[in-house]
Amino acid sequence: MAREIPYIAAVNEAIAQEMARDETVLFYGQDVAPSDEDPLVKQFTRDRVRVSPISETAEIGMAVGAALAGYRPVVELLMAEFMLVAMNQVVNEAPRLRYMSGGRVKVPLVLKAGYGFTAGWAGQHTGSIYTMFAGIPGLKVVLPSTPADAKGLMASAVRDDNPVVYLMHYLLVLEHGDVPEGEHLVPIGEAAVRRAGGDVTIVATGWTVGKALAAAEALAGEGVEAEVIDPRSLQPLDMPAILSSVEKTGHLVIADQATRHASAASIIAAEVAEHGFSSLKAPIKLVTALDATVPYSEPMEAYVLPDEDKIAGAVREVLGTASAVA
Amino acid sequence: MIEQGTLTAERADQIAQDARDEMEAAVQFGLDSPFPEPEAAVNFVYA
Repeated sequence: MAREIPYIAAVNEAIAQEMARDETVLFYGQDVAPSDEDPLVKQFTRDRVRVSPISETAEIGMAVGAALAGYRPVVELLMAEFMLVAMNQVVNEAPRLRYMSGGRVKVPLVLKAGYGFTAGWAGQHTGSIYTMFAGIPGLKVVLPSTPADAKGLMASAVRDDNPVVYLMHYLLVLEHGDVPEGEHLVPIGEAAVRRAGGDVTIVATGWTVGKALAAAEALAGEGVEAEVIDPRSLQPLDMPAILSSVEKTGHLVIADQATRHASAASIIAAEVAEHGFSSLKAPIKLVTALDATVPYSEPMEAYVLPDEDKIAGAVREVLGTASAVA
Repeated sequence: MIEQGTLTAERADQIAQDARDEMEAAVQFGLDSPFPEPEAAVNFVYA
């Protein structure tokens, strides 16, 4: 039975349900349940729900140790950028210990953080830095774009035997959507077709999924049917789903909030260029953030970010209809 | 510091007032200024 709840409530519901299902699941971080009256604390006690000190190095290092000892920690890191001070734990420890032990240990943990908070939060809290994690073998990276996926991907992340970077978009947390009440799992590595269409494929990640759908609606008024694909996870990346859509449409636009040269879009474009070249009837077009730090000033922020008009414009370019509309 | 004689109450008040005035002036300057050109967003990425 599904009902409408906000994205953030869906994330919290998944954590609570997973904690109830499996007593090895722990949840801690800065500002997590500071009051003993918090429902999570009441249900699971301070043994499993903790406020941790302002040290990402300690929080993530502790998670690696707990995971090696048989627990499944979920660490609340608030902002993806805060992981940067603990990159040794995120990059060099969590994802590499299984490999370096010859498969003898596993490190199941979830690094939960927000990203892309482009609402005037300026340079150090608005980045879309997921591709740096997606490039680390051993780490999984998920970017839920809907409340249902926020729940289903969190549940799957907790159950996964690998370290998972779970990135929620801060501009989506209050968006409502249908979310199944009970157990709801979304497989990590399976793309979703958000809108079917035969003229052009728009692959959109995270926050840009909504922008791509709005662009697709505008394009439908011009007689262009766009297929919108949401990869949902960047590592692993569901290339078969993307390639099969491109095979059908012959045209590809990729929307991504990350800076162009460190974007998921550039990785997807490279894969399609290598494995789907014969399907393409026009060059691939990327709609990403510009290669700049996200600025504070509102018009400057809008200038560097992708939006629905830029996505629709890119579609018209790949279809060769740009001049007809202009 | 006041008890130890390294700062007078008057001087402390003056420092606080100067800080408030400086902040007020900065806020007013911001409110009175036009938004920057959007294209300025890609300035100063590199030296």
